[in-house]
Amino acid sequence: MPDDTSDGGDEETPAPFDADSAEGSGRPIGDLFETVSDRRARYVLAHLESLSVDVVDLEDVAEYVAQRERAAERETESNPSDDSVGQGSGDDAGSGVDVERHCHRVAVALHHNHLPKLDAVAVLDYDPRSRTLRYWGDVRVATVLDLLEASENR
Amino acid sequence: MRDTDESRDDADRRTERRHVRYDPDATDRPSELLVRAVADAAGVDPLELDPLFRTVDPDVLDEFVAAGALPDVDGQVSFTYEGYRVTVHPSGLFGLEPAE
Repeated sequence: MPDDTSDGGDEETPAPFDADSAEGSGRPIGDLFETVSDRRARYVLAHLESLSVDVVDLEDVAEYVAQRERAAERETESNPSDDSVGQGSGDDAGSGVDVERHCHRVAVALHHNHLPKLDAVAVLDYDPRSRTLRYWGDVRVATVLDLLEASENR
Repeated sequence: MRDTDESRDDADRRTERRHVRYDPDATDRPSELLVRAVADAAGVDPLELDPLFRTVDPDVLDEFVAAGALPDVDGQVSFTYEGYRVTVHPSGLFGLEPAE
């Protein structure tokens, strides 16, 4: 048992990660935070939290995430300096082809990275063959999302 | 490139050895480029491939390539993914060749 707790300025000693043994599903909460630090993963979870069904298609989630990304992009584009425009470019979301391509890109990123990662931290089940995911709700997720959202909107 | 000959597609392109280079100015990440290259080589949609995460964490792969911009990063990594031997140089050069 390592008992060298109060060693003062010894940065080499890895702090015991108490948060990791958080109650509940037995998965480290640190992993969850790290996974959720990615914006796409956050969008995925926000979408799942908002749904009442527990099985969702990849395409469905990708569409939602792509939509959020385009909305966020539009916001950052219209925010700086010109608050006089008001409307004008209401729906410049691009052509249908662009939207479709964006959706597919998001789907590929989710399929290869975010969803299996969220599966690995036991937040959801992702079946890459059927490209469906199952989400059973998770208090930790709701809490972490709230925290991140609050800090983002400061 | 004889890729223009559409009729000699599948069998041919699957056994070909190929290289792709990551463009740091691209909007895609290196791992996304890799997935598309493998899908292209196999003649399928990227969504039909096994998630890359099960073989290598795409974020780690992206970091590895991004670190290639640093002068003292050397070496390469390789792994087998979807029947291809994949070699990644930190410079952003990917090599693909059929495994076995």
